[in-house]
Amino acid sequence: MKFKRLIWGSILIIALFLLCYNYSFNYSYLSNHGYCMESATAGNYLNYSKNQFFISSSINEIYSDYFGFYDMKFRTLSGMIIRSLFGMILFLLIFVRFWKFDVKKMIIIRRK
Amino acid sequence: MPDWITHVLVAWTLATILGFRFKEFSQPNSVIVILGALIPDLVKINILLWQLGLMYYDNFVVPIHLPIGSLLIAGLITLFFEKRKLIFSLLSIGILTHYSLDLLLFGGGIELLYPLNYIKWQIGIISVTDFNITLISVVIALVTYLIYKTVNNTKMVFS
Repeated sequence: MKFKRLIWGSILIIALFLLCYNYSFNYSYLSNHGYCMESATAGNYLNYSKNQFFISSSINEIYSDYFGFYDMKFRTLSGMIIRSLFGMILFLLIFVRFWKFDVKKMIIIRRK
Repeated sequence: MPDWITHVLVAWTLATILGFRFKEFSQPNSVIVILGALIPDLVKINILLWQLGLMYYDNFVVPIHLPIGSLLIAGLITLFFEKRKLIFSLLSIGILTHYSLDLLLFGGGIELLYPLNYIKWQIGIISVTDFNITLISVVIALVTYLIYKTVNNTKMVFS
């Protein structure tokens, strides 16, 4: 049973790796040949409104020069990291409430 | 994209509402739906890559935030559970809620059919910076929680 899981796990990891490699390769190829492909996540860093700044940092005005915007990116980045970490910790706490890892079976089972 | 608080609340709300009708969507299983809703945002590991100065690998992790990549990761997570079909279904529902919310955004789009093609899809009615969606999801989740508690208490009284 564990061996079967190992095989499936290996297949899925290899498939994921190939998918990621293919995407990355095509992105580099197309970018080098003049095409512009947006990353699904890059826009998040550069498109925050004042609301987001208030939530994630102590900045109370938006700078218009490139340096200020660059500085803004990392301040909102820390806010995003903090919210994501908070969300992850909260989720893990709730997850542990209902599920536990069975070391012998190497599997996650429901708590009774 | 909507933040993790929105994704968690929307996934939990959907699972709880389905739980009124289908016993598979119990509270422990709703946690699995929430896990599925967070899988696409594992792409935020690229923040760590940026911090480590490895931004050239930023595009390598993007497929995690695409349906095919998310489903592969769901498959990997399923291997750690016993009832694999049920767990994979719950994770897939969570992934579906994530993309349903992300498709509402404008600014970029998602290559839903990768690796078949690179067309980016979006409905484009909400800004990525709009915090109102979080407030709305909090309110709906609260209402759902109150209804869930009421229904549970009623069941306990009559059982």
